[in-house]
Amino acid sequence: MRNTRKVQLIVLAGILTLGLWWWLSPAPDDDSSNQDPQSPPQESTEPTADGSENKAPDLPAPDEDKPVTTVPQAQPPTVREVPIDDAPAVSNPEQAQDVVDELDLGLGPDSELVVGDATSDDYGNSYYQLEQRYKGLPVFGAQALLEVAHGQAQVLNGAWIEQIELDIEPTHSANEALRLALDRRGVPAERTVAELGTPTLLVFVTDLGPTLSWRVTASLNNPDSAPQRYLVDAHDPVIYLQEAVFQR
Amino acid sequence: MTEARSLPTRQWRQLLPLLIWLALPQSAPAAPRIDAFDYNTKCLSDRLQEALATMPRDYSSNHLPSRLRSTQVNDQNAEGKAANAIESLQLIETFFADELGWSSVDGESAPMVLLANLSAKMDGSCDSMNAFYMNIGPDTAHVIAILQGHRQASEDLAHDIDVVGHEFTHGFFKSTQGEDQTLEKGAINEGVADMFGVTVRAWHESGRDLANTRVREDSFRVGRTFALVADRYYDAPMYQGAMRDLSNPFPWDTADHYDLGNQREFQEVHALSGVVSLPFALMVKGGRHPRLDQGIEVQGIGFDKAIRIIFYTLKHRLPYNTMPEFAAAVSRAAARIHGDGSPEVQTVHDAFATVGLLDGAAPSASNPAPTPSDPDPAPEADQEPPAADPAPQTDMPPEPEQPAPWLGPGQIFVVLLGVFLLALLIAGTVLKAFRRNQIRRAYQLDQPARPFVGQPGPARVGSAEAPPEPTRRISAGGCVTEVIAGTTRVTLMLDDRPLVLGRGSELPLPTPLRQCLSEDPFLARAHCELWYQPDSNHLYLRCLSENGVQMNGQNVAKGDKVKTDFSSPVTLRAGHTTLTLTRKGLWP
Repeated sequence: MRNTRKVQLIVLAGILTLGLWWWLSPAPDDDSSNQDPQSPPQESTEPTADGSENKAPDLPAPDEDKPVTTVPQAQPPTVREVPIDDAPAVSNPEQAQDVVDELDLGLGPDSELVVGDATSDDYGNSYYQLEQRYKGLPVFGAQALLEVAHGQAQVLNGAWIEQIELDIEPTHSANEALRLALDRRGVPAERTVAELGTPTLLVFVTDLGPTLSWRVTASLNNPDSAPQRYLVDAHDPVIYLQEAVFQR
Repeated sequence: MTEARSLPTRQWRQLLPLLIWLALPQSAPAAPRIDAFDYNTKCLSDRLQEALATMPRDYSSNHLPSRLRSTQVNDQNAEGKAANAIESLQLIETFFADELGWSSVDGESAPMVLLANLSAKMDGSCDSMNAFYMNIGPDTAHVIAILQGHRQASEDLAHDIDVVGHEFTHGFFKSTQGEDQTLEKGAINEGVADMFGVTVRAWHESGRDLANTRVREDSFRVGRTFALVADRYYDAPMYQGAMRDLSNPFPWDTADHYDLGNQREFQEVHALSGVVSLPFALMVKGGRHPRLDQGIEVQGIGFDKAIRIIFYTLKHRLPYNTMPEFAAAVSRAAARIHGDGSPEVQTVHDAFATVGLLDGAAPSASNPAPTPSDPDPAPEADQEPPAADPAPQTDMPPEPEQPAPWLGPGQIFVVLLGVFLLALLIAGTVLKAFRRNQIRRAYQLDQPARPFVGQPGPARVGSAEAPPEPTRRISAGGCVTEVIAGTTRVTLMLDDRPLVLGRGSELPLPTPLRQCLSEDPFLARAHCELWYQPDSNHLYLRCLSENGVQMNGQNVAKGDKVKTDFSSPVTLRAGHTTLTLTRKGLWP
């Protein structure tokens, strides 16, 4: 009889200990509610195609609690502003390019911000669109505006990546890279890749650094599937982003 | 004379074309080409989608897949769902052209392929309940598909102007924002598509005048016909009869705060879009966050100003990669149009602050409100704030409150466990006390003795002052038991009433047994009690002494109750006395 009571007490103590552990351990939802949405990106916690989930949790979490992430996450550059001293006059793309070239943006020797289109509003503002190019390749998520008010440059507003160093000779063609990346994911070889349009190379920055990637639109056959837009590493084939061509 | 006349005649002939051109009414720039196809409820295969996606931007009929070419219709001969789709798309195009000066999806009058009355292969099966926009690059065709809803349904998804406007806006977004799309940027794309979708519908319902577009109670509900078809033909009723509500996204499983973006269920572009579309609804109609009370009251600025601010942000490609950066870009656009520190900037700031995309105070006034250089197309300069526009919100159906739980599941478990244990403790204590009282009452020394062999009938033992015997129930029966203690051998009648064994001389035991027990100083006056259950043939024992008892070699502590099958002899060891009890038969 006494032994039975001892067993009961041990079981009760065990249940209480389990309950206390449960109480003290953070609920899954707590992660988001305690996070600062403005905090800088940190190490990723979820394997999705965006840098948004990289917000640093304020709660200390043991590393072993994090799910294993096998695909590096997108790390688009942060938007910032660089004021233009002396407000030089700008009335055409060439002058806009000169103003931008004068700025010390830390882009490095092989990178530049190139003026493209321009728009203007009804209030005297003009916007010269700039895209970052690294050795002539576009950089994912890197775009900026030279803002001109009443003919005078005011500010450079945008996002760009500093000091890129990258081999821009792709190890694999787009089709090869996509096929190898699909192999890694276990997609059967009989599902052949049919490219749509012309693949383009670009610099895609992940949390592990800049990568040379293919932007390729393709569909898989056997069975046929709807066309997808892929972003796949041109050196070490990994699919960084994938989305359906049609937007619902 | 003749020559004199011929000169003016020649001049007249030269001027004639100019005069004719001047005499003709000056028409607006031609509307972009819309090539519509009534696919007659058939399913658009993946192959056909590929063929459409790779057509050049300025395709000709030669580029059209032959299977599709035969289904081409126009606004003169189209019928049913195809006619509705054409009408809705033309309406959207008119809104963008007339109100915003933007022609087609790309602002440059790109032709559009419109597919209607069809299903389409999506995610491996033919889907009828959807609509989509497709374009794989700046040089390829823009395709919009409005699926049939249900083959038998007379209700048509094209009736949802907000849905058609949503798909058109995907084209506008892609043309201005490019192809770089992450989850957050994709969600912004979906949110912006909803913003323009609801605006076009409200514009249409208000007489197609953006400056006087009114806010109605259901202005922010998207996809009402979609929900109707889902309910009537797919037995899938949607909450409140709509696909989404921009002004209160959460009940539709759509995020309404940036913090929710880390949760897996919101890591999908549509589910995350509410983080940017809710601020738009607040910009339009004003008010507070529908679910989270943050003490921020947004002052509404109406559809006109709000959509123009969003349009400005996208048209001029104010840069952003994340949702907070998008909020900052929209705020910047408001400042460009209305001036830093203007009420409109404050509204934008407050609206995005409610969803956690902006914080702190809005930028203070450093520049006066800008003046448009060209007053004609001035979008905002002379507009009255639509303070009276918003329809009263009192008719809005009550939205379910979803307060945050104050205890997590683990905490609730511990609390419930604690309550359960406390209840168990109280019940045990009460039952124990009750049982003790029962025993105490039953075996007080002045209690009437139970019958035993040699003393038929209820015997009274003890002092003469003993109280009168209480009425006791009649036993249903028992067993005849032979008891051997050393050289003493007696017979007891055991039944379901406890019989006390011990050293006490007052115990109702046969005299030889009482004498035998009284000689053992290690026995308590009331050492243990025995009773017998004839139904189960069990002999029960409860120990009443601190010294304990052994029953068939098993120790029994004070207060414990044990039972044993009474088919075979039972040995009791109490004090230094060993008793052997043998059942001899049943009675009566």
